[in-house]
Amino acid sequence: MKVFLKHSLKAVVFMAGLLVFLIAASAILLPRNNREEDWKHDVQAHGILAEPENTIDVLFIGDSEVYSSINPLRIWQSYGYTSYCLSASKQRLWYSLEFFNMAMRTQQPKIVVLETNSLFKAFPAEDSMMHSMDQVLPVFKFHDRWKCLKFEDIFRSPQYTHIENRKGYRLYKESDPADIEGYMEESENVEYISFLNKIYINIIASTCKQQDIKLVFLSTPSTMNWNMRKHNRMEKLSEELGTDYLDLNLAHDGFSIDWEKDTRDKGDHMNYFGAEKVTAYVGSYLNSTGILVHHEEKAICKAWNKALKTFTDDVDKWLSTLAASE
Amino acid sequence: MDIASLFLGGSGSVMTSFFSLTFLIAFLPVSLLAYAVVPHKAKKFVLLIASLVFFWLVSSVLIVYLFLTILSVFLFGKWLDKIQRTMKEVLSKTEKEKRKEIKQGFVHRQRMVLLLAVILHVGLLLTLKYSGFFADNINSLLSLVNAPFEIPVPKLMMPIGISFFTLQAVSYITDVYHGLIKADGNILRISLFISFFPQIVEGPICRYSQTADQLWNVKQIEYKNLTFGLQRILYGMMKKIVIADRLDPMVKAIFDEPNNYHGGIIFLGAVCYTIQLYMDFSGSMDAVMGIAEIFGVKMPENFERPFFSKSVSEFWKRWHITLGTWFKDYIFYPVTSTKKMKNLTSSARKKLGNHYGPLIAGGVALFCVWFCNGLWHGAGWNYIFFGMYHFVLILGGNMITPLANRFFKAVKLDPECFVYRLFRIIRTALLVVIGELFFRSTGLMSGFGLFGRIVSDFSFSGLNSELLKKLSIDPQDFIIIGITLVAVFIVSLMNEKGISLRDKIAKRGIVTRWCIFYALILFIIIFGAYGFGYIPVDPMYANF
Repeated sequence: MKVFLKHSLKAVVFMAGLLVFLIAASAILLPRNNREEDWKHDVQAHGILAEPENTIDVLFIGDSEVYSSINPLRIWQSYGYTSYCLSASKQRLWYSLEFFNMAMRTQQPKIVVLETNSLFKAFPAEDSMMHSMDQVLPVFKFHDRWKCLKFEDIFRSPQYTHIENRKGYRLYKESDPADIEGYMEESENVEYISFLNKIYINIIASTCKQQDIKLVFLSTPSTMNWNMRKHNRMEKLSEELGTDYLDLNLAHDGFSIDWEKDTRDKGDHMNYFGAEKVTAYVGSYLNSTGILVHHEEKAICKAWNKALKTFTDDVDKWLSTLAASE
Repeated sequence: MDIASLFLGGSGSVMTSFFSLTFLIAFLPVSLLAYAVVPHKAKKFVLLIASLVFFWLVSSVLIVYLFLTILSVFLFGKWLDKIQRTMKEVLSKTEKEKRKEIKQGFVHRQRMVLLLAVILHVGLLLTLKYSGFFADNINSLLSLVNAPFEIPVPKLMMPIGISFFTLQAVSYITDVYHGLIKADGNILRISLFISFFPQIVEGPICRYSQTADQLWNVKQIEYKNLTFGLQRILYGMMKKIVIADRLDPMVKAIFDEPNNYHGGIIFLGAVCYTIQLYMDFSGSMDAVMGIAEIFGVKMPENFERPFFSKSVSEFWKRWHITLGTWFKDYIFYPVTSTKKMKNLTSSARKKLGNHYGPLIAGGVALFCVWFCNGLWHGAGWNYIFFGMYHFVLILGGNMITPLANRFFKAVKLDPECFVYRLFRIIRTALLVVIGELFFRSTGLMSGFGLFGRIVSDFSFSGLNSELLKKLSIDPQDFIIIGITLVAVFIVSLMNEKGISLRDKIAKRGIVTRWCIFYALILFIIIFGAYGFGYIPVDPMYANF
């Protein structure tokens, strides 16, 4: 017994020492800025770190459907609300939660819009475990930063300077028509959401409740990813959680997707034209909630108007070239 | 949702890698804890339950193949045992003159039982693993003769590790047949021997006499076994995660689209693939050995520094050793010991002498071994070519040995001098790399295409930072791979000289010991190829 206790004590001390080293390594390897050369991954979403504190009203969270369909600058243009797309390609819910937590450290959004495509994308428990470890000890996430580590970084505290002008939205100009046969065909069946995904949805939902944030589910149009089975599940889930649910795959007044023109990849994602329609509908919904207030602050207006002007100039130039070529 | 998934069947497929978090921080600790807390008599059952749960989590309903194999092995063993006991009884009551005749009858019956068992087990493996390959080739032949029909190509689900546990099953039945071991009357012991979780994914291919009793008479976890086992797992992890997985994107890029690259780059890809395969497989084996060591089980080693080999023949005695010895014991020797082969050897010996005489029968047996070896690795002509390539190299090596010795004598060259030994090591490594080029290629024709490109267009032009970016690798990756390879080389050199690094470390003071372990753990965590930007790489031999 004495020997066992001795060995156990040694193991505990060894693990404590290892923890100290891991904490030190985490502190050294943590990115000091949110620029591409520092962060390496999903720099558009991490742009929110450089947004002034408590200036973002709405967070749009989800996979590539979000950054293809929602343009925060247009919402700003129409209503004066600030929003941000926290989305990455093939984003799973564990990553959505990470983005959500990251944003909540500096922002106090009033509405969180969770795009529903990723809710049905199961992921292995391995990813969830790794993500949990990342959160406690960032060395597991940023270990590869040894490649770009500078000596002076070790003594510098993080300063996030990279502001994303498009607020996480990505502009896609190309069109590739979709085949809509069988799209949103009637069905009584209900799609399955994995156990792990349900846990993550509940975490996001309960955090929103605690922080008095309105949670909304949004299904952006996608002939490839959406169907009635998923819609039925989301109806039930939104009922259970008491949230609003917008499914833009179904017909709505004044909203219609032209599947010949509005998709960039055969119905998988929206292009610029589709995003304009989705954003207009979502903007109008946000306005109808009565929760948001038009921003009047000078600094915010200046920054967002500048970003909007850069965007509209780019788009107008492209649209005029397009019109000329037609 | 099917019933299997309700009970998490197949949900742990990621655990085929012993370096996955699910395995390392969930499955293994839970198994160890359960093993440690139960009374001594129950420990073996904990191991058995852990092994079956592991296989269930990895393979789901395909566990039925494992159960069938265990049941079949048990019953065939009993059957052979019954014949052997009856034979003894009958022979003891028979007159001496009639014994030979009666014995022959029993031996024939035993042989038939063995044949049936082998056909069943190997047949199942052939059906699951190769029916698609055979059907494809038959259809190709049919299309050549313009046949108006083709046979359907079956797509069968194959449980992980079947190539390994089938060989263990066959070895058990054959050993019972030869009387090397007694048939086991305890199906649970056989179950543990076949299904022990560290070995079932990638081996080593153990014999009943090597591990069955060790597993059944397991010990308490000892401090030394625990620490040594963990050290070995860490060492394997370094080989797999820092070297093999870091090389993976580059190897994949080159072999997926070889037409984009000059011969020099393809050669570099083949070298990197050979390193990747070795580090991946031997790293996983280190984990297997380490886990078994924690439970107090000593498994047969699968690698003994193969890249120190001076000939291809020696290489295969050091690489995937348990597969090599399996083929030697269950194919090579049975072929050479047949009456016809013995006659052939003795008549050839008279005509060709003591060196070349036995080479004819040996060559036939060697051909069988390498044909099976190639086919065992995969259902494809490139794998069969891979086997034949080594057959030719080994047989050719045997044939020229006397000539080479005479040459050395004539020119007064000491074949044991350092420079010549180094030359032989490099030459062997090059021959192995060429073999691996065919092994990794997507088909035989593709393999020849790649080899042709290396010969006709051996150029590294275009090897710049742009190309490296395209290959998803950068100079810093090469630096880390290089440093780690040097570390592995030093450890291998020490092992080759019979020095145990773990024993050496154990003799050091606690501060030095812990500093070494902290450095190794941090090295793996910081320089490992995992997480963001990396796709997890399954253990390479789990697919064979």
